[in-house]
Amino acid sequence: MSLEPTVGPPRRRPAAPGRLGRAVALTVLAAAAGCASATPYRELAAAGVAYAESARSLADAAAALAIDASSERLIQDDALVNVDLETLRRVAAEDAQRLAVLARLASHARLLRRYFALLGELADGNAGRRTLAAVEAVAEALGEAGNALRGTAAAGDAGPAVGAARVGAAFYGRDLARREVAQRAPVLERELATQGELLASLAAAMRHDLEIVAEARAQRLVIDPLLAETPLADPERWLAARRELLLGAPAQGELAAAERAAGDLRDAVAAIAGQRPALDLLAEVVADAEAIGAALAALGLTEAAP
Amino acid sequence: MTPAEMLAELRALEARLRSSEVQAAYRERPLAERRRLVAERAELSLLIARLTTAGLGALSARLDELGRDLTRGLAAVNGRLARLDRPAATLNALARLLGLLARLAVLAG
Repeated sequence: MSLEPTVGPPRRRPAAPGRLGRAVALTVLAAAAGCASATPYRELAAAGVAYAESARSLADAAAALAIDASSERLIQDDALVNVDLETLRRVAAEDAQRLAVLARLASHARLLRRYFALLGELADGNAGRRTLAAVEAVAEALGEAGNALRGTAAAGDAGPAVGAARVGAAFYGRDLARREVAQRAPVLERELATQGELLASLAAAMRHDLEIVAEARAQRLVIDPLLAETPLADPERWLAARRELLLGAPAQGELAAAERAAGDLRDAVAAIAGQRPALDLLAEVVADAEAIGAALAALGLTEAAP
Repeated sequence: MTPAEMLAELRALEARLRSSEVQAAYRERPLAERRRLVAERAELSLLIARLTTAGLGALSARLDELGRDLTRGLAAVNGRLARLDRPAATLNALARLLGLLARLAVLAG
């Protein structure tokens, strides 16, 4: 079968590919293959970073909430009987232990974030940029040398060589990312399984603390002032407190996203290591991380914006 | 009953003891009864806090063990990144050499 078009103006048959032509074709193929293989590692790294950041936010929020809950308990007890110094000290000691554990969790989440961020650099070819910058420098030097040594073998167009080297460097980085994930998958899966258990426990503890805080605040800030013989001293504050309590309640359910995110990320790691598609799972991880952020904001447990 | 189920039961009990209804009911009770409720309720709260912290601590210890593997992973990724830099160093040296050659050629011409 002729490769010439049967209609329209006749086209020039392309010249047989020389060494440079083959390099360009390989470059295009490598780029196409590279793009296809780059996505899961880059997406895994991005989802891992999002997950680790939300796990750290959750640990920080749980610390603040634990203190609030023990403070509300003390206020509630003090409303019935004067709380003594010994009780205050025991509660403070227990709070300190909880904070120490939560600080370890936050620190571990930071470590996990660093790992995924570095994996992202590897998959994204960020580190390859240094190589690419060097490629550009060589191309420039080649151009200079070509001008100086005009008529010799060194002169010529360095563009295709630069293109091939650029793709080669990026491809190399992605291959390293693939090997890293394949090698580290068992550790990551164990890590994320433990994280899943831990975040489930943390979410359960937070839901309980939220229940205690909400009940105590409802009594102290809404019920007591309204039922008092005297009119509300500050109606605006009363209104805001009631609104905050009612709007915060549905957000508690969203804390379940924490456990879900760890499970989805673990499944995604296993899928990617086994060369199976995982983009849907990774999208779920990112959505869960966003849900956690939204829930913490609705509960007033996020850090103040800088 | 699993430890998680027991903890859930204890939390439900604490939530009931700290509800507005119980709080309001005990306001009118004699001091001795209020003192007893507060003391026992506070003990329950501390017990729940200890169990929660212990559970989180045990899981956290498991993470610490895995953290060593993760740190090895970090070192491995850094190593792989360094390998990406190696061609860069070679190419930089080549670029310098070519620059020198170009200058030599100009001088020779």
